[in-house]
Amino acid sequence: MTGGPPAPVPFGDGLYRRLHGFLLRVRGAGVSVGVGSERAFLDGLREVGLLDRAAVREVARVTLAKSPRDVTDVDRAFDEYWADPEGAGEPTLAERTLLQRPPTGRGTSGAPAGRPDTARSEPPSPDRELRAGRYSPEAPSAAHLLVPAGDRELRSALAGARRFRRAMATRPGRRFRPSPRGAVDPRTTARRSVRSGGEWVRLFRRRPVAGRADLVVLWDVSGSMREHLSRLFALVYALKRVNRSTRVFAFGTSIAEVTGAIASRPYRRAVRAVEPLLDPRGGGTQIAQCLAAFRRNWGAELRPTTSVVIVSDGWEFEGGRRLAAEMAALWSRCHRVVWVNPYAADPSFSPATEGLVEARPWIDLLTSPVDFPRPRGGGRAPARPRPA
Amino acid sequence: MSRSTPDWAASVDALAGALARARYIADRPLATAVFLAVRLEKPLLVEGEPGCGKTEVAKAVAQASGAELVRLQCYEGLDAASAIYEWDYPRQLLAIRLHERAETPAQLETEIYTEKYLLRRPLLRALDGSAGARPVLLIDEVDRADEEFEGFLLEILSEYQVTIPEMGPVRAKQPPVVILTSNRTRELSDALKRRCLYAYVGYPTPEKEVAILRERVPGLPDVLAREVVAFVQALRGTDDLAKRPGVAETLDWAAALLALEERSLRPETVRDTLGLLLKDARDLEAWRGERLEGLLARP
Repeated sequence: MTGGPPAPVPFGDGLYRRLHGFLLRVRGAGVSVGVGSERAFLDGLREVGLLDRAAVREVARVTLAKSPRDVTDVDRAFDEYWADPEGAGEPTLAERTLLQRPPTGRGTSGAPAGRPDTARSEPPSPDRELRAGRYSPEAPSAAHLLVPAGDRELRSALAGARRFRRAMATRPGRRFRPSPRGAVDPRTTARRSVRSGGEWVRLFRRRPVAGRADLVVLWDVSGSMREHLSRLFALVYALKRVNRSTRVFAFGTSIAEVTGAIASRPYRRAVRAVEPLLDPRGGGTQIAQCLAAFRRNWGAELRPTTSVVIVSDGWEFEGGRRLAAEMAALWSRCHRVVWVNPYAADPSFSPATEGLVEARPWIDLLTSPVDFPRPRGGGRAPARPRPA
Repeated sequence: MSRSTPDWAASVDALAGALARARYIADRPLATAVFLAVRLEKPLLVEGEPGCGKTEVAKAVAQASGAELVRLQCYEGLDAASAIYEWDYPRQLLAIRLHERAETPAQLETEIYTEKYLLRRPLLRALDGSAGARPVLLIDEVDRADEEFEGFLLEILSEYQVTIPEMGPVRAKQPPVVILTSNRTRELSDALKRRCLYAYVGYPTPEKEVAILRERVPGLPDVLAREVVAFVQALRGTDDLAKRPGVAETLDWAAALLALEERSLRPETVRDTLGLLLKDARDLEAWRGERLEGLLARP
């Protein structure tokens, strides 16, 4: 054993103010940094010191990030802030070290390799603009404008999501809870009888706790969905709100997870958090490609209990055949595939887009956002087994 | 922290060296994360790709520190009785029958709710660690457990104590080094994540993977090790695999090739042993044909 912990590194007022500014920058980047994490960050800096820029970055990652996405956000905030931190005054030696620009040759060794969602809220690069233009030159991407839905609409979406949870996204669990109408629980009954000298005064009953199945929402935010986005986001938010394990992915020509922006936020704050993330996904829809990317990056996380909700109008850039193959692959890996089409509320609706027609055999429930999850467009799909 | 610092965790470099002696090659970010977890006495949540060494971190830390490894494997339906403690009901009933004439009900109740009748499960055992090195508590694949179970963990992770209603709180004599792993099959609760430090373990770089092979598969020819890593990395780089091979698969495959006394990769051997790398029937089917030849033919 050594002689105890190292002497704590004292933070002067100026440095503390700058560190606090960095934490504010990290929060501004969308990372939820609580007081506990803030304290852990400062404690960590006291442990590793301030003279090694890479070590300070690692401490920030370890203590402030809580997901792979956060790691990237913390890195970006670190580079931005310590390249040009707020606050004036002559920097100290420690500050000068932190204020160096990052060495260009050094990789971010701790960042998860091959992260699928690196596109999120990065400044648009020329490559990305070209890529978006390639898919829809006549309708270049523009930022989406999410208008918060009214209270009534949100309540309706929440009610629909709860109905959906009851109908599809629940399953009997292995755990039990006391219930006056359940089966007799012999163990509790015997244990409680001890209190009355071994007399069986009362029979205790129990029933299984219904578990909430996993839910994955794939939300089409391409240009053709622009006018429906606000209303559909109310539904997407409701699905996340009523089922905490729900994961939400936004797609158009690429796919990225946006769960973090929705989770644990009130509706209006979630709208503000999600809106900037939708920017790069306008102009064209490649549902099949996005489903393939989803399967590749997150497919291993799908379980037989997972229900997948696809919120899309079914416009597919690449034709329907590949989409059908991807839908079949998706369908075979999950519990249910539900398709929410914004046009399905129309009484005369029937699947007409090539994508939706081809995908139809692998959709367990086709419904509209208005009376979700009531079946529309020809009622329920035939029960399994599916066509070969 | 008020506790004295063990030599193996005196600095990030010392800790990385100790892990290397335990045959775990940790890069700097992960070593920093473990260092902070030990020094700040906070749990460490390790997420990442399957088969990339998340569980091994805890084993290596236990080996490096010479401490006991207490492992809790999470699964759906895991409850407090299996993870924390349970009363030994048969022994309690027996004690009641033996003493019911001699003692009053109140005395009996005091008697049967004591440590003597407590069955300690992994979490309580980790808190009970006696003098010596801090035990290492591995809560493996916490994402497989129900969300409700995370609630049980909160008190343990923040206070290092368990409250047993009949006995009161049981506080750790010395806080264990807690490492939680998750494959991200679901999002963990904010409350749990807030209590933890965080590290992400991705696929290793080719150089690191070669070093891991050298460490974990002694006797593997250097040329073969490089070919194996190049092949696996190329396979991971393809975009249509249902399940990409992790480091664990690379190690298994290299050990198999060594057992087959191969000196370098040959198409026939690769085809015959591809099942050790690809664990999905469709992947195997897709890669046993010409695509495999093409990948092997790459310079």
